[in-house]
Amino acid sequence: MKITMDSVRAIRGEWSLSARGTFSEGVHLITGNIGSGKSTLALLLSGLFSSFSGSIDMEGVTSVMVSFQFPESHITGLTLEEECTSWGLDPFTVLSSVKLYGKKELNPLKLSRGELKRLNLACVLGRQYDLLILDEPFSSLDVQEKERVCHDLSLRKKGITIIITHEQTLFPRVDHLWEIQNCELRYLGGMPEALGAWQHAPGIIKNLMAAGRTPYNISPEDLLEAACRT
Amino acid sequence: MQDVRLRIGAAIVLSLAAFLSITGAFLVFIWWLVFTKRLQILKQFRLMVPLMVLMAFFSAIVELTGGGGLSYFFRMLVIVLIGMWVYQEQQSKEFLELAVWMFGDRAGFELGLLAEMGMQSLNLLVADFDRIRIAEKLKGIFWGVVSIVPTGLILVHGALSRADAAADILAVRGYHNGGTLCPEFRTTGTDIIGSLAAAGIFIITFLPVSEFFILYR
Amino acid sequence: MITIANLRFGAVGISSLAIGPGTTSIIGPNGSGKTTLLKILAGIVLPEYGSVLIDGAPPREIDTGWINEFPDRNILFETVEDEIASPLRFRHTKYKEIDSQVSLCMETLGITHLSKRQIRGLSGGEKVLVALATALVHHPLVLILDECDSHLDADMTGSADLVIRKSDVPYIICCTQDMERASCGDNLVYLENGSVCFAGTPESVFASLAGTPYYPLSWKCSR
Repeated sequence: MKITMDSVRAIRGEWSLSARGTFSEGVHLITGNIGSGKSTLALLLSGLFSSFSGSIDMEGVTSVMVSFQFPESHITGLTLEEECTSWGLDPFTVLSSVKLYGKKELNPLKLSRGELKRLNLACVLGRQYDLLILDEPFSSLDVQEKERVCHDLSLRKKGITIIITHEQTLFPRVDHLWEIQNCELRYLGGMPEALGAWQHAPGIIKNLMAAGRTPYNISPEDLLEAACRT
Repeated sequence: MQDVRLRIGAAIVLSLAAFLSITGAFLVFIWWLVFTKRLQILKQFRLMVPLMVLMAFFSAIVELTGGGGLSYFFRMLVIVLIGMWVYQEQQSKEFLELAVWMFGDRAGFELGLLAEMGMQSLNLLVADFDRIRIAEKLKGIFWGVVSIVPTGLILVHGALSRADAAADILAVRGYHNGGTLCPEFRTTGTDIIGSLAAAGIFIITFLPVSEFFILYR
Repeated sequence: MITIANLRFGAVGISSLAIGPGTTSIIGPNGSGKTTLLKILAGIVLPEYGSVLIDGAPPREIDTGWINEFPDRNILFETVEDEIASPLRFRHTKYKEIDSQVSLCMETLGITHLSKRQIRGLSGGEKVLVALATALVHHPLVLILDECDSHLDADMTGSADLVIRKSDVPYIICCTQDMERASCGDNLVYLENGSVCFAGTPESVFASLAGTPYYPLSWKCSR
């Protein structure tokens, strides 16, 4: 299973994004500044943005899901129960996992933004997709939820998972690192080799590397392990 | 038409002329062909579809119950085209400037701000609708007639939620009653010609044209 | 000083809290009442019971600047100039004074070149600067930021912080999920289930939160 981007170029007015490379099975992290084209990349890979040149070849990919930055984008149900059903999931299982079963009759738009994001992620991660694209999955979550989501994402082995984010502190364990630099999507490599080339690496990681303690990966546990190394 | 005062005035007289008679509707349609950016308006076609469906329905009833349905449909269609022209040409802050010019910086500002926020809300409703369609496509839900009511309810809820947020922002920015604004308008030669033509069409609609030609003979 | 006494609003209940001048971060789980507290401090909602005073006056008598999590959704007007001028227009400030204050504000933030642009066409960073300009143009006593850093990258957060520090606003209250940023403020308040569990300096509050996910990762790594 893999996705191959060959000379892909998307243009919107004065902005453009070029991409070339292959997404194999595993967890990929794509980082970049705001406005660099991360969300457009999510639309490109999911087939929802068709104004581009080049080609995107999806080998062995039969199911695709994209989770957008703003969870309101996904709402189609009038109650939480209906919303879970619209995903083809059991409402009790999903709502209990995010501690929202007591609010099953509530309109999703009445939830706080953090609760809505939790629900959306629980629905998205509740099924297996060959290609799962998560656009800013950590925004609006509190640190406890971020840690829990990072833990769940670290365990994903089947399929291609692409996490697109500008998060600076909490990350799941990932297999591949990419970065959007100067309007171009660049593959930096696997872990931990890619860390040296990561231009916008978080301060914690840069400090650890400067002290000669390159972490093996970027999850909080890996960073702590590197920090405690003698 | 750059001057919003002339544009709204022209829209009102043209709509009245189109409503009152088939001759008026025909002349207004010619005016629309000459003075508007037709292609850009027709690109907004999908916004007209629900209106056209409604118009066709009522026209059919009129035709079946007494006749005149076709005339009714054509006249309503022309009015919709004028409405689409006003919507397509609308620029930010125009309604606010118009309202302040007409009614002052208290009542006028309030009415104008209401109109501006209404127009913004309309644009956002269209974006919300597109988002719901994408969400349903991702979930494998077929969008059909049964989706209309749930989609409508979600759109209403979204609009109300945005209205709440807008109210918070207005409050925190110190909005109480009206505001300061110096309206600025730009009138071009084309605006004046178009307005005069609209006024001419309106007058002709009220003239007994056939009797005029009898007198001439 | 911001003083809160016997406050009750919905699920939020705070018996007493005092916040000094400077930057105060409010942290806590989703649904703990952070946004509600910020809305009370901004005067957007009135407490059902109790009192909130900012330098001796209730929030509705104080000039407040507000930026919420989505600057995109803060927009009332389409152009940058109109958006920044809006707080002054709503206060019936005279035209010439509006023009000069807006120009000065845009110059200070380095966004004069954006004045006629449509806000929706701006980059994310530019939108945040416009939101900041709108919040600061009327020289508020309190600046409230509701998780507006959650959609900013590191560079942008740094630029926004610089602008805020230069603005000399006496009270800056920000709600954040970035514990590294919260650790750099002057004061810290931790909310849970609508109540204040801990309040004080970042060192004292985080000491009480040691062992929880709220303890800053960089502090864990360096200790």
